Amino acid sequence: MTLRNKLGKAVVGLLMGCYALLCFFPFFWMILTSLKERVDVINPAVWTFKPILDNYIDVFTKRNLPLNLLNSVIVVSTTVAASVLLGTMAAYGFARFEFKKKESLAFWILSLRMLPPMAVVISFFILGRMLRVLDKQLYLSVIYMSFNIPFAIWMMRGYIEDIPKELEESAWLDGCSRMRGLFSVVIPLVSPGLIATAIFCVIQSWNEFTLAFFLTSFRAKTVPTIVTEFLSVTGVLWGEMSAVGVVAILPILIFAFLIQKQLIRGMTFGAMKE
Amino acid sequence: MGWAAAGLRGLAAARPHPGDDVKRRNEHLIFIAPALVALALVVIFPTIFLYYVSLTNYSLTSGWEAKRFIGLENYFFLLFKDPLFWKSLWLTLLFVLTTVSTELVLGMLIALGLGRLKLSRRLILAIIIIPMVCTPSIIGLMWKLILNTEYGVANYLLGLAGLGKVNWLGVQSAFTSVVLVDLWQWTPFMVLMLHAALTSLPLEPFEAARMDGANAFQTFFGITLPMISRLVLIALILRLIDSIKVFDIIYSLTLGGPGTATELLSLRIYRIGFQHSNMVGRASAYAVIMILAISPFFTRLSGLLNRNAK
Amino acid sequence: MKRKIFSLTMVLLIAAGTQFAAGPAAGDPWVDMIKKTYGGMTITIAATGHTSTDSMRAMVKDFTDATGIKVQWDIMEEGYLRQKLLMEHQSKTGVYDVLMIDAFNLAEYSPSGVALPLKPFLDNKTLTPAWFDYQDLSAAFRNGVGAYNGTIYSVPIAGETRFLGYRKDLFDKYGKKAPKTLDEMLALAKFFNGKEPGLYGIAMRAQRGIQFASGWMTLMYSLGGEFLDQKTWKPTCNTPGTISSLKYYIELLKNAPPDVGVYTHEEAISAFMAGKTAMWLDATAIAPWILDPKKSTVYDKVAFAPPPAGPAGDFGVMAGWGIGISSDVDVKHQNAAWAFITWMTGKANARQYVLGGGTPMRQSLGTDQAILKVHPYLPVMLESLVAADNLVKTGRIWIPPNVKAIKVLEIGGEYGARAFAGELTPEEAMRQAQIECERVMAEK
Repeated sequence: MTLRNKLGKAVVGLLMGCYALLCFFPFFWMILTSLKERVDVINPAVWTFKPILDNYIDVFTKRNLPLNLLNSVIVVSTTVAASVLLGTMAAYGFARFEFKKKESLAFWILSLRMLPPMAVVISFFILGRMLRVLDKQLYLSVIYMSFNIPFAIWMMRGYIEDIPKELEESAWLDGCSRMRGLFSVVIPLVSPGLIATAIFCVIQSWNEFTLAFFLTSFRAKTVPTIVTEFLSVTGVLWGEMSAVGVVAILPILIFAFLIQKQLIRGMTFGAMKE
Repeated sequence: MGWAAAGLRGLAAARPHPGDDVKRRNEHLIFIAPALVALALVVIFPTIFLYYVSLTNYSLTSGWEAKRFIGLENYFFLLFKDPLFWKSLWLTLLFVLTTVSTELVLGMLIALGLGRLKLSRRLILAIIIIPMVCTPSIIGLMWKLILNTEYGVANYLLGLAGLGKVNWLGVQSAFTSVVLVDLWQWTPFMVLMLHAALTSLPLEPFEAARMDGANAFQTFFGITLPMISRLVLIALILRLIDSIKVFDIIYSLTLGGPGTATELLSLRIYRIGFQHSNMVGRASAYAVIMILAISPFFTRLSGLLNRNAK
Repeated sequence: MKRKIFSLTMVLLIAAGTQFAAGPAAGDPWVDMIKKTYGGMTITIAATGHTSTDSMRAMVKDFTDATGIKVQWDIMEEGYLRQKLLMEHQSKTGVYDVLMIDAFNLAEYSPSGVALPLKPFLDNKTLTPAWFDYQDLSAAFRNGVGAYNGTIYSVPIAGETRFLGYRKDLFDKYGKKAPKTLDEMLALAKFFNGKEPGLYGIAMRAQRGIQFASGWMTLMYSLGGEFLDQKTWKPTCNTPGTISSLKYYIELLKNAPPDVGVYTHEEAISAFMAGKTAMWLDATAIAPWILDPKKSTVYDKVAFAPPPAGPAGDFGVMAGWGIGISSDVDVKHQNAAWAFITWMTGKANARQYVLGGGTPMRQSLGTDQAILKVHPYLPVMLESLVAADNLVKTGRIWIPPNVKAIKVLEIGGEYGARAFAGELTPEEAMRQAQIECERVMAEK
């Protein structure tokens, strides 16, 4: 390895390190804020301080964080499971078949993601009221499918298109139906892509705020909605808010870290194995 | 509602014609129908509601009964009488184009850089997921704290480095700051997508190119880019759609201010429909215009995608 | 050392206060009646984050123990609270029993009937405990915060006015005195702006929209301006008085930190508590934070003064929060809600309420030494209330009592902020604001 190469690698490493630091810093600052007294929050020069756990204690005992976490988990797991399942099946339909106006339909599905939440929340509220499903996790779960399914369809379609048809055809020769072929042959091959899609859906659903806020009041409140509890009339309760922020991220970070290997392998679209 | 009609026509066209292999023709329906039905059920009411309400003067404070049908009056108002509409539209387009293109370029550079690393790659990948995963409303407020000119840590660090204070959220820089925060949050998305694509590329073409004496530029633009172009387009499309709806971050940082420096369309919708105006009818008209305005971009892009796929 | 004394005092005070902490106990006829009729119920309250809310939450255990009524809380940011209440009422969901109502929104809620008029409850001798003493609540707050057009909709839990907080140490160092007029205040702001490294003149709210309007309105009336003529309900955005008050406010804001254009009450208080500004003109409800060493770096360097007077008079702010009853719930829930309200705001529990973080609302507490130790600014606050009363004497209420007032304020705040950002001249901004306000007021 030439000196030039070594130098090049060092520079690249340094730049990547800087970028990672930039990504990490606000999160790091949030952790610090959650451990500080408020007087230290407004004084950035303070780097050594006595950390206090009061914020975390308050957030778990005085607020409903455990319930909110549970609600978030319920909503997210159900909506992602359903969306990925339905989305993958539909993606298969788009990938393997030709029919008239296929692309128009695909476009319409994608356009559903363009609806700004602010614009549709009132209609969902009225609908929810009529059907008496307000403040229920299931309602949120179903509504979230409106942006998760289109995403799943568009992502999975690409993965499935990359799997050569021959593999399926040999399964059909063995007497397998098309549907079984999908589940026994295709899906195992695209499982990394499936996981990638699932992760993105999880992130989007976990962090969704507008719809969750207006469509729940007590029982089904998810984690993002409780942020506004800390925007008090006197001022922002930085300590508690950051504590919630940290707690809200941890499940996702752990989840993502555990399956990141699949994630990376899985986002393979490319012009593959030529 | 052209696209809805197109979709329905597509389904209709798939219905069996006499004499055809009926089962064959409809097979795709079995796979697509469940998702389609779920989607249709969920969005049909809000979509109809949105378009209908945009033709009324429904206001949350006056109530449902008090609303009147006013036809296209909201639209006329927005297009001709609301001076801020065009500014909002312009700011939104500027924002979307700037962030998405920068994220693409930065994402590519970083993804290429990541490819050169061996040991630290996994660690760095794990770290750069963080911006995407943070709850937007919370991290937006954290950024506001960080970017505060007087007691924020950004200016503090700049001060340590000997540079001056920056007025991050002042009139001049607010828009840039908002763009920067969005870049922080979403560049990782591009990095991950592009990195995965790059690592899946076969080695042969690159070795051949090297033997032919091609330099880095030629290799990149001649081989790498064309091979991952489909992925790049998909990532672009997904990112564009989400970028237009940007709301949480701007709401936390500036609420559309100072003045109207960061009043993008989604904030205008919020301001009209929710903040003390509560003119839901007019806000709905805004949303409709927003959707219609950006549709051409997507038709173009997905057209590119389809051509590319063949 | 000071810190130690402070915390010791707090402990002693709270210990002293706790002899009142239990509140009315079993044996009190009202408590028994409530427990028998409504015990076992659960009521819900929609509230916003506020020290008063914290105090109520600390008191709720005693309430539940005594009456058997359980309470569920939904706490959210004030803007969202308003939205939620309107939406819930639209569909008559009846999700909330007790509502925390911002005086700002009272005019909006009453025609649409979000909250019930409370007079029937106040007059009801059985439902209202003997120790409630409604009249003891400061009249200014009773009428300014809890009533609209003569109808009482809420019982005030956090009345506030605005006053001046200033850095006594800096003022003493440069031989300055607290300003008595707005001109003096502007001069002081200019004086201190940049006087020391990292120091600015003043911190105030200026984020576009209602925040800007709120900050501006602190001084608007004293400068001869107003958004609405409260007799004819014609918008008066572009009168000379309003325009000159806007110019004053813009001039004042030039002596604030450079990103004041995104300042809400949060940034204003944080900037002052971080020692970045010499003055702060904002709500009395936030004053306790300034004196708290856990929150403020200047807790021992601050003094308070009533809001300075202007050329048009000495008019102060009247704002705050109250708790009322939702109109979408059945009678049983209404009565249980009323039991909650009287418990939290009644005279018997007032001391506990204030010591727990609630805002002092009652005349009887005005000379209470224990309270004064915790809220040393109370005399200044009472003095400031005189200015608030001055406005009422001219036949006007700080927040114009009109259902569309809040929209007008929002418009005024939006255009004012744009003028401050330099997008429009004050005259042009107000001209456009006037047009929009006229349209809003004319709509059915």
